[in-house]
Amino acid sequence: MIRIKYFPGNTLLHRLDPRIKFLLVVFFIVVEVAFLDIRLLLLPFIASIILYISAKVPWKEVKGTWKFLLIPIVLISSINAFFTFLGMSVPHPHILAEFWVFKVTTEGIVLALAALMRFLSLAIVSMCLVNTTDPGLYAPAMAKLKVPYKGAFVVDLAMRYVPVYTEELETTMNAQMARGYQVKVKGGGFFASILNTVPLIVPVAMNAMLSIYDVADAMELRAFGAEKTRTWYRTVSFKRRDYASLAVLVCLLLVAIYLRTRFTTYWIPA
Amino acid sequence: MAVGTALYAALTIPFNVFQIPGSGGLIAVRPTVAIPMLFGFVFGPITGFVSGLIGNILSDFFSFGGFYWNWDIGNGLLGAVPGIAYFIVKRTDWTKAKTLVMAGVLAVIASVVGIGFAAMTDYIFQIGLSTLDAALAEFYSAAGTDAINGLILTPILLYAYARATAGRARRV
Repeated sequence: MIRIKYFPGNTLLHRLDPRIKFLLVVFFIVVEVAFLDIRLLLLPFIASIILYISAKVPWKEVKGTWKFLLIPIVLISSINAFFTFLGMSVPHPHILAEFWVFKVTTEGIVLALAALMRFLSLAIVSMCLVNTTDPGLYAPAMAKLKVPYKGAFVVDLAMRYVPVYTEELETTMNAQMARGYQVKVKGGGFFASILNTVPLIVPVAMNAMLSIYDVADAMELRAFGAEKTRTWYRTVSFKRRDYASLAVLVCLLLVAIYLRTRFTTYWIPA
Repeated sequence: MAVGTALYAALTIPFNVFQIPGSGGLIAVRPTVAIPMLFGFVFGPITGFVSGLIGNILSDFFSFGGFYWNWDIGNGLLGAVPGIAYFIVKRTDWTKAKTLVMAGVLAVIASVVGIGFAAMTDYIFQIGLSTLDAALAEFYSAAGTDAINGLILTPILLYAYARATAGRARRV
């Protein structure tokens, strides 16, 4: 069964209002974009790791996800550092090693590490949000953020239908296999692989698209959209810890702005 | 529109998360890119954009819990660009060869625009990619595969949808 990787708990991150956690992610996105100096980027990177550890997410459950993420990321970052022609675009690169047309430069390594830290910080902090927030609270939180309720309902409804379509995809695959459909393409290459998805994607997508009418009818019969606002069964509200966290975030933003004005460009070790 | 968007988002996730065996992984075959393109074509650019955007955000939430705003917007653009056809193609013309060719061409343009946006913002904001070479490599591989997926699958899905809804009097 496909489900959001939410792990219930009682840590501070679990107890925070989802809106504060949204703001936390936005704060990290802004800081990661604003900071150029790799020494500054270390701060949000370390902060994100501390936050993640404080969430006490069961490692066994997320180990696979991290492997899935880390391997390609580290690989891409290594390519950034070692196998690009960055050295040629920097006026006076500090060449550490040369191999054929490739140049390993100090600048390349520093920029690759900075890019890697940005990517990982964003991944870690967004996992903090997802791993510690009850999926049922996203829509009420969005509604409290003054997102039009039809917009919040899109998220709610989408989450509701994920298991339905997953099951339908599995059923369709089994039905097609019973009719001789081969899931593994022998030969034919890339185009054959794409065409091989047609017997799966067409029936599932068509069923889903045609069911839109039924769902829309059912909702209209219950007067969905008749009122300008609506209430939610579950709701979220700011507690003292949320106000305190908001104050801390504002202070951190001010510190980040100050640091950005002091360290305005990339830093390359001498 | 809300219902359609929600259902697309929900539909994207099993296709993205539940890997189709033998497809060679999601990088090579990403049939889901054709779905926001179809939604854009059929329901307009806004539905296409929101479908791609929310579908990608939720599918990332389900698959690994990450959130990459620029790729989410890029996927939104995959749906928005074919939405141009919504204003110029009549519903009765959906099964015509000319329209199907247009759907394929718009899918290719959408891939270039959407993935171009995502790869270039990766480079501009230095998210995981520090050099232009790496960003271009990412763009060529991702936009190329999405364009071929969209080129083949969008016209097939459009034709199937047109046939399935033919004769339905209610909103399409």
